[in-house]
Amino acid sequence: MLTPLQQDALKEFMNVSIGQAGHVLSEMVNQKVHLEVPEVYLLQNQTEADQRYLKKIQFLTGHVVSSSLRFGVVCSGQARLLFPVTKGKQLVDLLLGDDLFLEVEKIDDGFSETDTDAMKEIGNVLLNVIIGCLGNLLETPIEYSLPEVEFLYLTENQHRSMFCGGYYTLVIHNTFLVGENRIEGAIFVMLCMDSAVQLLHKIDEMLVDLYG
Amino acid sequence: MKILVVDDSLVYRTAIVRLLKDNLPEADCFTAGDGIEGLATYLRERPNYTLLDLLMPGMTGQEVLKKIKETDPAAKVIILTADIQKFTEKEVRDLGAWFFVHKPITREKVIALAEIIKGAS
Repeated sequence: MLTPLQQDALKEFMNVSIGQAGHVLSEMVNQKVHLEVPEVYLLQNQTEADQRYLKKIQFLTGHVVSSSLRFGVVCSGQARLLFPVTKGKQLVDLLLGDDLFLEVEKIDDGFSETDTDAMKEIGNVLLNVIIGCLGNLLETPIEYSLPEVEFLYLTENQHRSMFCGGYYTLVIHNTFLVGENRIEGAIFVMLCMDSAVQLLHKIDEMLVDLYG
Repeated sequence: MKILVVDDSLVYRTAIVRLLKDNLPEADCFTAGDGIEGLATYLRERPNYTLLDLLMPGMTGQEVLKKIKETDPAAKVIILTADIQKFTEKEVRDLGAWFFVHKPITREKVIALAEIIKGAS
């Protein structure tokens, strides 16, 4: 659906957004966060998703933790941040390990209520960065719903349920390296048709700015 | 001095209050976990400073800020939010927010806020 130039411009834009997300994550865990270059795709439908992407999200097979929020006004859709549960728990432990949270009771296995609250805040902050960057790019205000945390079990065949019919899906496959921890996750941004068209127009404007 | 902290994250609410107390030992801190409780606590306690999240159940931070400013135009309300949109910052500044702080909340940010509060008191 995207030309190579559009794909490159979208990837560069999301690189910057993920860079900002890395910065806020670094503030949250009070450690340096190293970022791997994200893979970025804008997929139009489930068939395209089947062919081009499903193999790349096999790491999300099994127990996953999902933080999601809906957004709307002119640009509307849903954003979802997914980690394998073990990686999500590592991230929460890194956050709560900071002495900012001295009085928080820690548990080694599974997610406590406090861990879920922390995961919700991680999703809230990271998804706000990604969607906020989109809103700033599109020069349109965006309103958000409250973030929700869900624990899901995904089989290989259920990955396509991440792609909603009638929506374009912006997929960002990102890896954060925090100390010894390699935390691989994915962000799915379901954009309604109008929003995806706006995004493509904006990408074309960026390309015109760059190449004339 | 009274300080109200309104945030739906218990983890962060607790950490913010602890850091405020470390840096402003004379402050009485009150907390609320959503916008409705936050407004009710504001009206009951009339705090000198309010730290207010925006995205919360019940009432949004913007709605709470608007009500507070209708009641008390001189109220000092500090917005805490993960929202990085320039439109949002302009909206709450237009509503009369005193300061605007981007989440995540860190020790350094709370200490800086405590210094600002000390300077204004």
